[in-house]
Amino acid sequence: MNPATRATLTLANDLRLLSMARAFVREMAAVAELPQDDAEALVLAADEACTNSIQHAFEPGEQETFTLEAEVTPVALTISVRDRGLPFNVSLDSQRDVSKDVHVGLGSRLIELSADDVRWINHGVEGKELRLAKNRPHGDVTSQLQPDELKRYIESVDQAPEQTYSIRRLQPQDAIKVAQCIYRCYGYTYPNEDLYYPDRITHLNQTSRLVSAVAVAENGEVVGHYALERPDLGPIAETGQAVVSPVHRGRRLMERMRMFLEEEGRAMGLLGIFSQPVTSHPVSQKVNESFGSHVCGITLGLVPRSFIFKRALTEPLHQRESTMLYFKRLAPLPRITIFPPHHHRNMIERIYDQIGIPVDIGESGIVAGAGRMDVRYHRSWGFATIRVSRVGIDSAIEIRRALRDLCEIVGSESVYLELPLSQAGMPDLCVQVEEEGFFFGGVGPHFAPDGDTLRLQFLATDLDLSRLQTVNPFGGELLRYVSAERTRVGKYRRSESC
Amino acid sequence: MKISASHHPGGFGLLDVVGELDAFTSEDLASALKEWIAKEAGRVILNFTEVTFLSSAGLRVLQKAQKDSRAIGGEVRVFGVSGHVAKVFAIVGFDRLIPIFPTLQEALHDWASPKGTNPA
Repeated sequence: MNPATRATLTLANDLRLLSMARAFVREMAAVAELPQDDAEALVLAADEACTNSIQHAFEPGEQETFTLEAEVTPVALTISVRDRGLPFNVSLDSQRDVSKDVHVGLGSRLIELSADDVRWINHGVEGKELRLAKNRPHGDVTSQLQPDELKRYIESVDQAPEQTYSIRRLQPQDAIKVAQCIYRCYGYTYPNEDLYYPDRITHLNQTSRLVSAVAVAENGEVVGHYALERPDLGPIAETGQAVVSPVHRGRRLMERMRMFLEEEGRAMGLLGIFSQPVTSHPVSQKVNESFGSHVCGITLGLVPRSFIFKRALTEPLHQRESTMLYFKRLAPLPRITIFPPHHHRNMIERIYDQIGIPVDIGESGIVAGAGRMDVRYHRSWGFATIRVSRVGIDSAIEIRRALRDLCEIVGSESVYLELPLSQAGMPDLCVQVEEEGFFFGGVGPHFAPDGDTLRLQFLATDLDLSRLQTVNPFGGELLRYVSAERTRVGKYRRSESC
Repeated sequence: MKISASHHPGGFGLLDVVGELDAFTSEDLASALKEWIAKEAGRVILNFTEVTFLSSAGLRVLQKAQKDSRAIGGEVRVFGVSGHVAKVFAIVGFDRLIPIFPTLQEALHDWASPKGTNPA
């Protein structure tokens, strides 16, 4: 099979054609070799998405078309339902009284439960897209190795003899060893399930969405992994997916892989790298500090409780894990103009001072036209992200609607919002979304196509912030600021639904 | 999608549903349920043995039918649900709203009791 197999079906907005849409998805599921259950789940999700488009995207009597696009890769079958109609309302259902019906957003609930990954994308005047993905069933590492090859690492083991290690880019044959290492360290609790599938690791590296470095022992065994993640192939990458075999620890392999990846990043033309070390212990924050990264944000409640850390923690987490956001420039960055909300200006300027990016402050302005945004629910992580790529007159309403749907229907425990700092209309939008309960989270350098973002967050779960640990004095100050902002917006929240 | 409806000697309407229940075909089911709920004082049993697809549209039709049936002292019951259709009922909790039975006999036997035994 080719790296990606694609097919497109265009249909009139006629409910009688739903069976044709289902047949198309079933055939693509067969191409992707999905198990029957997974195939039917995706067929259901696609049917609900198509029904939504037909019933709600167009004016009554309007004769239009919508499109299904299918893409099969080694990782997943992705179905996109695209139309050029009215904006999304995940919970919209003309048959229903939202205040009384316990089955609010039934179709959207089925979509969320049936697909592995769901993205609602508003392309502005280009229309909107609902993208559904179902992971392909190629055997994970537990089906490819014997049980004795998958035994969990134990705390007290003899160290491997001193030796020379090599650090290099991952080759396809290394993928299974990486998956094995992840499994032996974390069991089946690592939130990024791609790392349990050698085929996915290989495919992601071949498409540059993952840039993996491996540490190799003298006997040729892969004993460590560290990677740059670039899901959108943008100018920055996230470092992570790090693991080192316990019998080879204490030999600076993590540091060496990190330095290797920074050089790879520079060679690729990346502007910077970011990481999100946890706050339940200080170790990974100290590692980031030693690499010359700087604090630029805090993300509360990012990681599910089920994530278990070897060596640093031996018990399940008491609450969702929070992370610091660290950033390191890989290239000189030019002076930029940003439009911060007035009440956050001081903190934002201090963040930019920390990360070494010179800024000019612009005056906020009035917006015109429709906005663009992208909403995504990360099911295995239990959180959602809303990215506004263009601030428009409808942005506040759309964000409010998305927040309500994500909390009430999808059950998201936390929602992270990225607003473009380079757009003059953003300050007013920030004030409006804070009235819904979003509070300050920091700055995302180059997190948006047109530049940096102001990061905001909404928590639908309890968090005891006294459990968070920060190693950097500015990080501690930022945590106190975030905590105060959380309290402040809680007094002004309009929405009671989340 | 096809629906065959008849009066059962046990004193209820029996609707045999065959095919896929989506936003288009569910309209026919809604019409049939409306008719037979009125005819049989709200007592209707649906045969889902040959239903191969069920979307939220179908679920909403069943939800409304159950509400209308119970309002006049009756009940809508379903038997023969299997495969992915059974999963759809379960994942959104509709198996608590609509009594589901493995067979027609069991649906009849339990008619006097307000709840059925719902298969996984």
